[in-house]
Amino acid sequence: MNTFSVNTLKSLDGNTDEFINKYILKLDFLNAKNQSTRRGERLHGMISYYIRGFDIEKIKNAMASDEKEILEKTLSLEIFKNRANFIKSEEPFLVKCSSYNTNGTTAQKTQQHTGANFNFYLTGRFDAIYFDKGEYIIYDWKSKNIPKDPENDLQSVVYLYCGSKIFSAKNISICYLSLEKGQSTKVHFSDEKLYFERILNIIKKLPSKYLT
Amino acid sequence: MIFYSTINSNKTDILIEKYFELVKSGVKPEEILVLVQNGRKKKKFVEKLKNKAPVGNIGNINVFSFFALARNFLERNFVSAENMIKDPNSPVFAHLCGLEVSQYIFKNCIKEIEFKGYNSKVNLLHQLLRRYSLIVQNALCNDEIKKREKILKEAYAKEARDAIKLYKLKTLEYRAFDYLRQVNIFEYLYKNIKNPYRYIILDDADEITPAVFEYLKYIKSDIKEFIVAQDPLGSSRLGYLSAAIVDFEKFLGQKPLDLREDSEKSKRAFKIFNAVKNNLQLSDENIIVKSFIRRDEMIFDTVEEIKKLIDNGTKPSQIAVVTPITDDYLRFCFKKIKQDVFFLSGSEKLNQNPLVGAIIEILKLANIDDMFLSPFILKSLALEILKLSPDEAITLTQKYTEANYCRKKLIKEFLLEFDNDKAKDFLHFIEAIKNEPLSVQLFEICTKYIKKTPQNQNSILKLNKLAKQINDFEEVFTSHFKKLQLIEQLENTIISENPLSEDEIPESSIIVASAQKLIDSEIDTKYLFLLDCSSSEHIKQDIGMLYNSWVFQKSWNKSEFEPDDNIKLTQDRTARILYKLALCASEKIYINSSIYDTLGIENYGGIDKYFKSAKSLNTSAPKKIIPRDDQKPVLDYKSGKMAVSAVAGSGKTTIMLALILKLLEGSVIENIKSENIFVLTFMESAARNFRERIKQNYPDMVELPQISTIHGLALKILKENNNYTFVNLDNDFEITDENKRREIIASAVVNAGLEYDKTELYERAISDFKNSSCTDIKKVKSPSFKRIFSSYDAVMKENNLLDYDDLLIFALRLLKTNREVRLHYQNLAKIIIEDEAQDSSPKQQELITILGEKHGNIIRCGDVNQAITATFSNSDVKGFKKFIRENKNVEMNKSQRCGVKIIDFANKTIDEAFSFAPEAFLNIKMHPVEGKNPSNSDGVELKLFEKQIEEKKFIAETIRKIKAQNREKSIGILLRSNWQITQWANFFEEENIKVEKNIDTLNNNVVFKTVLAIFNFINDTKNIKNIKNTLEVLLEMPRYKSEIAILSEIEQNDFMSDNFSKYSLWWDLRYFLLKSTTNPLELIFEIGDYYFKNTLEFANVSMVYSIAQKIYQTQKTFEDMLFRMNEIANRLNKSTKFFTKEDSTAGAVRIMTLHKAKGDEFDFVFIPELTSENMGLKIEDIKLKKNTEFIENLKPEPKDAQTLKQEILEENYRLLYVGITRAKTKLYLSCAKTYKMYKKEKSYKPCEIFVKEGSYEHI
Repeated sequence: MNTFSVNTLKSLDGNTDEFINKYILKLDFLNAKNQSTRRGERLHGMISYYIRGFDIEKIKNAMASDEKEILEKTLSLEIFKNRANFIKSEEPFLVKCSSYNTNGTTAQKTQQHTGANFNFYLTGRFDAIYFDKGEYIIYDWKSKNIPKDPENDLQSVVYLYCGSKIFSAKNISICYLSLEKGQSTKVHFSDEKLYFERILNIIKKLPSKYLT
Repeated sequence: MIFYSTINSNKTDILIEKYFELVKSGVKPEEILVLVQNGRKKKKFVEKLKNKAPVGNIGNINVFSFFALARNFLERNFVSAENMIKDPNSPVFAHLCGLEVSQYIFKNCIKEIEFKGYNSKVNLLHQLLRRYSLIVQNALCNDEIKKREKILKEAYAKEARDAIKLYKLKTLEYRAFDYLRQVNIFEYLYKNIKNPYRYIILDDADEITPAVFEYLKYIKSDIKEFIVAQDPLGSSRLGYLSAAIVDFEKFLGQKPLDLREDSEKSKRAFKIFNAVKNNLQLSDENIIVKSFIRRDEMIFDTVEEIKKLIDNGTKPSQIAVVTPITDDYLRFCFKKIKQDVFFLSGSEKLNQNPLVGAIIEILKLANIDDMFLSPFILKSLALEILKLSPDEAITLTQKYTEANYCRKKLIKEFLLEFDNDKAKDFLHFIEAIKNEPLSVQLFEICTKYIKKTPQNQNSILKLNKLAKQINDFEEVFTSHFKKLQLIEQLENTIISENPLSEDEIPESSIIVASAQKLIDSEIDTKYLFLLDCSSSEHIKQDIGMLYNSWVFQKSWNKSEFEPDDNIKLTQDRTARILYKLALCASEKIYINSSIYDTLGIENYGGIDKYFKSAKSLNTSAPKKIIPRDDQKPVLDYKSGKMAVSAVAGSGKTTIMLALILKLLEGSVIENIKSENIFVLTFMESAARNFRERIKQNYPDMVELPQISTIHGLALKILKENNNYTFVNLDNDFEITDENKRREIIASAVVNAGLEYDKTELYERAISDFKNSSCTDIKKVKSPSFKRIFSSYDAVMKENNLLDYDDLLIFALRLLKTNREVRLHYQNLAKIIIEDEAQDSSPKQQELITILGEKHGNIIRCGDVNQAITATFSNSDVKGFKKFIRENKNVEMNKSQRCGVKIIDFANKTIDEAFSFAPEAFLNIKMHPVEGKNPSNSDGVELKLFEKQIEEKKFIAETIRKIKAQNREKSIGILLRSNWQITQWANFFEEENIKVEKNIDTLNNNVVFKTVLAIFNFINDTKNIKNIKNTLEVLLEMPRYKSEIAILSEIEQNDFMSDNFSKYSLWWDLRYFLLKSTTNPLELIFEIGDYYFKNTLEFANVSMVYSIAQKIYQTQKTFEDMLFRMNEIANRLNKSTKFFTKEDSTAGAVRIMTLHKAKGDEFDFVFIPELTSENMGLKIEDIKLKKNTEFIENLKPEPKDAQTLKQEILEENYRLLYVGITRAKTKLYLSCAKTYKMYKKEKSYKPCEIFVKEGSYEHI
């Protein structure tokens, strides 16, 4: 395994054995999506259609009234008034990283772990990228709750690290928006080195034989 | 840029280099579309791309397989399609589901459309899906479809169109789109959405589908550069899989670069391509060609070769096996390699996996309150799921078996009363989940009962496949489907894609795959074994009634479709497939084939004909036969029609074989090849005998002459080159075996209000009616026959079944109505040799006449005096008599088989018959061969006894005497009817005389008998009589010889107690009993392998498996299957062609019917019970059965009773003659004056030969 998403990193961080079972040995039972996940997906989809300029009236009118209400409430937010500022929607990303990172601070530790330098990849999907006044804002729609400690949330770490690489920019932030509650919080890019070390330390939990 | 490359060129590296060149020049990754053939190649491509990329942002890469491109479009842009749909209900996303959902929808659509004259439940859906697939993949518009309907003169075109239209509407309604429907909508989307791509990198361009090419054509003007990798000899997916051979040079106006590597491997692949394309035979020192007689021999040889390679240091991953037939038999045999073997293809049902099977049963339990469970399944659940101890599981199962006798006890009630905590907990659990959706139920069951261990990995993958399907259904239909119906459908789901995703191909296993799978996955190996090369399955011919893979190609531009088109196109595809396969192996390629398939049916039409061994395996010249004077004219045959009248023991088989070998040498008929020699035998065993003897003479011969029974030939004519389509047969037609046929007729008989025991009568009547000159059912007078026949006919049609009579009827119809097919076979049949011509039916004779019309070389051999099948089959001796009269007749009248006195007696029988039945014989007398016949003093003895028991005792005593003098002497006891065999066999058993019953019952085969005995034990472990029967069967095996005492102990102790642990037989039975599986068929291979390892009998295991499998398909539970197996065990069965040893054990006492004895010989022959009833030799002794008259009256011109009697009388004489001429040194003919019938002593008149005073000894 060489490619990690926020979810797989969280799983690896939480319990290595469970991670190996689930993502490497594929020993996990497929569970059906629950109603709340499905609703989240639908709302994500609709926002994306909207951002990309599709006519969503027909689908919107067929939605359940509570969902439609949330969608309308969301789309009436200030940011959607400047639809053109959304430069990407539902955008997948793939960033290649080397355990021997650019300033060399983690090289020694890494070598102790694997005996050699290794590459890994970070992947995911940005719900939307908003660009305004020289700042890139990665929007992440949450169905209900936004992270309790957004500064330290692994998603912030991974997304800001990758975002900075993708847009070659430091003026970048991630904004979590709760669709149901209307709350939002924003985290600005801070320390690339710390981000990278946090990610690498999680990956190092995986026994080297599984790193390909 | 276009470049030619093969899978061995570093084409991916070149393409990736190009990719980065573009990116470096400022092109954004999202502007580049990379298209590859499939998911596995995509994964490989992406991994290489990631590897090659510099650290940092790689970007949004768009690498898609041909199919995933459409899916991606739909996922991102569904709203655009949705806005076009009129239905106001509107989901946010489409349901991108698996084929199971669309099959379910299609199935319901078909119900609304009547395909007049064609509504095969089995195949209609399959055929329509294939048609639809071809239409979609070839991006055919309505006009193109209509054009093709005309070319094919399709009878069901409109219905097919309506069905597909309805299906498309319904899928739209549900927004349920499988991969084909996705491609369908893709076309709409790309025409209505702005194209995001500027550069196209196209790998595997030779496998591109027209649908994808249409897309490329559409966006061509937007594209700045195309980079295309193509193998000009590739396109292995031509035909049904719809690869298009695209001229990219023309499309892009660029010259291709040839970057194909110049390796030995490539050269060999190219040679193979040429050989196949031009119908040549290739010989190469790195291509090892081996041909075997039986399939098991071929498989075991492969297994041994693989073991050797591994012992010599070859890694498993360097070995691949390709076969179109990945059946359970192959899987089982490959377990013996003791290495990881990964089956990359081969469809299987989900519930074939024991854990999945068990979970499905629990799902049923959760959703059905009043359920009876098969005790066999209960045992499996107890062991596998509840983890009860073996003893607990056995007790539970046995108690339920007893409680549930005659389905009296519901399983839930039983478990509630059964004192076991785990069972109770299980009951509470299924009660708690019963109201949940199926997907939740499945998840809960798995979480509670399945351990997430690597051992369970395969099962978990399959369970997730099941979960995926359930999720699909729940998403599409929400709750508008019945849970139980869905469980049933899913239970029978066949995973055609195995593995479920390309990610799962392990890197350290031997891969067993179909050709296409190996090619598609680009498996790189050193040693490639191609198995079953003689099977026509290697050359897939995807043509059915409602789809034609060739005409439905986008590129089809002819106005007609001729059989030759199919042959040529298929050959082209085969060349491409074999070429690509050859590119997968760098060292050796093994071409392995066998004369017979697993079921003992002859293989033909494979790919072995393109290969020849580089070094001859056996060059010894065939043994020359020096013919006698009376045989010589046969070997001197030059051309034309010739009859050979051969008396019993005249060496007819030997001389015919010599003639075939001479013909094969090519000195008789010019330019003759083995395929030009047609040999027809009466029995399959005779055909096997010929084939095997030719193979012994020419071990390297790949294609044997066409040797078969008439039904075998008819089947071949129908199947070859998809000829069946010309007589409106569907390609998946199946031949009913006699068990299934009997079942269908029995049900028709009972439904017509008649007694079940009338079944046999109607079996015969239906066959006779089909073979008669008038087959218009309306003209038949009998209302009961009309009803039963119509009902039988309807069931056969609905299930796409043919019986043996149909085979012949359809083959004849085909030859008569289709000139091209007729000419093909007439050209092919340069000579036809018919064995046992006296038993030939009018239809068989008609077929021979048609086939022989062009070359006129027909040799018919037989003995009119041995025609003994006319009264119970469709054979007609008159035809052969006429042939003898009208053509040159060679009389082979010398026989060295019988002693002179026996010859005299046989000849005397011919003379005496003239008084009572002048038409019985032709006056061809047997003559001894000087100095060769057995010498004996008292050749024939006629014995007349007062009582039956005296006759029996006399024979037993005489056998003892013979054996005391010489144990090696063979003895035959020949009887009139099958039922007498059992009676006499029982008597001999009481007398401690070991006999071999030569009877065509399943239970007479040791494998069937053993499997049945063990199954009976598993079914009931308490019933002493049942256990005793099982033990008796198994104790016959030498391995249990010393354990006979077990029989006496079972009366005293519970058989399941430890008291028996000193017996290995007990442990073995316990092992099979505790083998935890929900699929009883698996046990058959286990039993077979344990008892019959590496023997000829092991080859029969797969036949027993096949019998059980057919029953299991309809009976569904182990117990019901077993009931049927017991029912048919002792019935005559001719459709299963068990492999048998050519010669019986030396010195055996064999017991059989007179009919069955034909072709055999014995030192001593006994023909007892020759009453006038058994062997009427005077017209007044012949009594017509009611059935005979009934059947006769169905015919357009029925014979009168007197004529029928006369025919029976004539045949009786010939039957007696056959019996007499089986004896070499001594013949005993006997009769008693009284016999016990139904426990009553009854007087009988001895038959005519005992009438003359003095001709017999009265005892």
